Amino acid sequence: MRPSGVYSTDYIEDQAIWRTRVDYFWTVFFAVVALSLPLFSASGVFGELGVRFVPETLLGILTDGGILLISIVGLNLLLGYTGQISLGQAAFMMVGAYSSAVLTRQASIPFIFALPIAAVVTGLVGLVFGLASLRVKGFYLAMATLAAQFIIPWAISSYRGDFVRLGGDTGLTVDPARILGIELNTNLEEYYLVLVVAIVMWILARNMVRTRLGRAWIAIRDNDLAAEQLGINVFRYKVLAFFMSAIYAGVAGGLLAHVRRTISPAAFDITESIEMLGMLVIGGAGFPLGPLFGVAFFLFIERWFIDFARDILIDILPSILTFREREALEASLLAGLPPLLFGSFLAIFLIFQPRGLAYRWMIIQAAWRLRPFSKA
Amino acid sequence: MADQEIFGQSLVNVIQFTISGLLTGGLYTLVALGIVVINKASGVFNFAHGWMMFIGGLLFWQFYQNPPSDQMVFSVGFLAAVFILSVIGMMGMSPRIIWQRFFASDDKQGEAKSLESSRESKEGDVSFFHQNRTIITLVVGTILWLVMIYLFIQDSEPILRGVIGALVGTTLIGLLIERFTIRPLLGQPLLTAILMTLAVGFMLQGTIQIIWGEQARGIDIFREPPTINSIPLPDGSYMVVGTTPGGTLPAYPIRTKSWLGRDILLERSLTWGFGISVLAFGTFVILFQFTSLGLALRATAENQVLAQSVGLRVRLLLAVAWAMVAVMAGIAGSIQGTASALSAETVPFIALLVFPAVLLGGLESVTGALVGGLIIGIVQKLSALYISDKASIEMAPYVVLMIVLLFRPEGLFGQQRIDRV
Repeated sequence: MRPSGVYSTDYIEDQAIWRTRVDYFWTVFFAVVALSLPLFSASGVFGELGVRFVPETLLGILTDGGILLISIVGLNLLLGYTGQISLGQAAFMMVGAYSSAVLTRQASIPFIFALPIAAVVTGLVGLVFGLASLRVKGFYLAMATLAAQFIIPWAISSYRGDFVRLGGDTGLTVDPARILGIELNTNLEEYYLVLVVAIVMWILARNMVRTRLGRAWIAIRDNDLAAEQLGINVFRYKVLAFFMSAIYAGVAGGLLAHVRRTISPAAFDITESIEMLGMLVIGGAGFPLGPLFGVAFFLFIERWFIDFARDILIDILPSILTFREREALEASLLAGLPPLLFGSFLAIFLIFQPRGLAYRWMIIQAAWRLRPFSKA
Repeated sequence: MADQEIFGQSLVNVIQFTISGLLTGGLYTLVALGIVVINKASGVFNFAHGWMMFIGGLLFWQFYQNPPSDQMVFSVGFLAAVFILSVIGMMGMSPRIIWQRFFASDDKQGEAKSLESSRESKEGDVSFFHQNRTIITLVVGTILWLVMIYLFIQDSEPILRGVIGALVGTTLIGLLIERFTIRPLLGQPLLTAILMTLAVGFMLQGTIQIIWGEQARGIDIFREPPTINSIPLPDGSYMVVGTTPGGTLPAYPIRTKSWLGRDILLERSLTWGFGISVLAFGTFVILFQFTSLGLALRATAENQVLAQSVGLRVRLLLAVAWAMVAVMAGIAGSIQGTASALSAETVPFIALLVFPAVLLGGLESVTGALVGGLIIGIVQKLSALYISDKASIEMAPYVVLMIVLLFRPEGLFGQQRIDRV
């Protein structure tokens, strides 16, 4: 929240992360909240003293959310800043998860090195499918990434060689992450691991889009012909965007493997890719805060709103769908409500707020800044 | 001849799999046509097509497999929908106009009537049919709908019941999708439209799961009737303990034993599915190419603004296009239901397999849909023969897709207006 009367006089000031002391305060405040949250859970320091108002499940949810966030930040670089549609983010996450799992268990490389290596491997795979942007763009490129979403899981699940074991359709079990001899296997430790990585990756992305690289991406997104006239090597920057986005997916996938402890091809299907795309659009593609809003909104629907909707529907539906038994209907509601609600909210956002929550947040900020003369 | 080999597979196998692929490809052409028509009309690549197929097939299943007495709410809801649709459909206009013409009694209506009658009297020779065309349409339409409603609630012809239920249901779904998700996005960027069809897919998926559950449903047209298992009771009667589903009916053989060593078998459901798909494909192509509605639809597809400026009602035409495509999807879904089973893993997946077919044929081309669908069907079956079953299902069509994208992005018959980089 920036008060009225703060003006930027040059580019550096305009792009600063902490423009005012208030910005700095809020950053520190949220950092402290995020860092101290697990201490108040049952296994935390204060929790053991009796102050435990943070349930363990919340930590698990936030950990999952953090992993999603990393992947979506990568997608944001590709979709939000470079304007290329990708329907294959889950497949790239899968590459990261499998590489990290194989590297730690079968090649005995420490986790702290395995994760970056897995990320680079994923980046290279992303590069291969990004090469399609040499030939096509827009919708056709989306189809090429859709091909990645089919070819990669097929390749991994049908690999039967001796070089590494990939486990086919059943998947692999993964060791918990181990850093400097400490095994990270409780909710609390996993939360800190994901939190630290997520913050590092987010700052990295924020800085990437503030530099020459990000400006080139934005130029390509806004008008690729004009960007080429400005001397930007369009193809090179597009492929770089694919590379970077896949690296983020790789990191997210690696963390997912070590947090969930089991991975299988079924966990990375096309639905996941589309959901991540949807979350980004709901949150606001092309805004630094977009992925955060998107994930928060998704978790809000997934964990809270669904119970609310189910309680209402379970009273109404049995009288309409008389040919179904009540128990079966309850199970169907459990399975059917998430996609129905997610699809509905995505549709509502696309119609009424296509630029996402982050854009709405910007409008609110502007209104605050112009107060009392604003109308919004 | 009999022991000849092609790349390590016997000739008879290759021919058998090619023909199976061709038959499967028939279904793919119908799916591809639906995607092409939507792409031409609305300029949207419809990722929700698979779920539209699924819900169409399930509607067919619902009314084919279950007698109407078991599902009063469904039937009554449907009859209400039929009634509303029929009124709107016969008039081809919005409820407001219907109200004004038939029920409201203001001066404007009288003016319009007198204008009309004066014009008709000026023309002199006005036939009976022309004078009373509204009444005649109403009477004929009502009779047709009454026949349809009778067929819909009768118990003796389940296939007719299923066809009518699926037809009406898919039409409604198509109209709803167009009105509430696609139309608000006219003029929005490509990404928004693509995401909207994905969102529609999610919504249909959730709805299907809530209404019909996770269970796979088979449409038992090409199966023997189920056998009823019963155990004899001491008093001489029988107690029913359950039913065993009947086996599939035998395939149609082509007599090639004398020169290939084995008969070529045409699986019954695939053959009928191919026939129905080709019939539906032909009907829709005739509709597009040789009727005034088709002409209007093609004009709209070519240039919406221009079409509107020459007096075509573009929004109505888009609604018609979506309704037609939903019906096509319903037909394809029902065919798939008879061939194997309707489940969330198989049916929407078919649409994903057809995307490569659409791109191979060219996004704007009806011929392309035909050729692309058949080619993908054959490629899929042959890769099942040469590589593995899994490869055929998941990978082969997408390898074709990558090749197409890299070497001929506009497809075989598409228009060369893709933005190349």
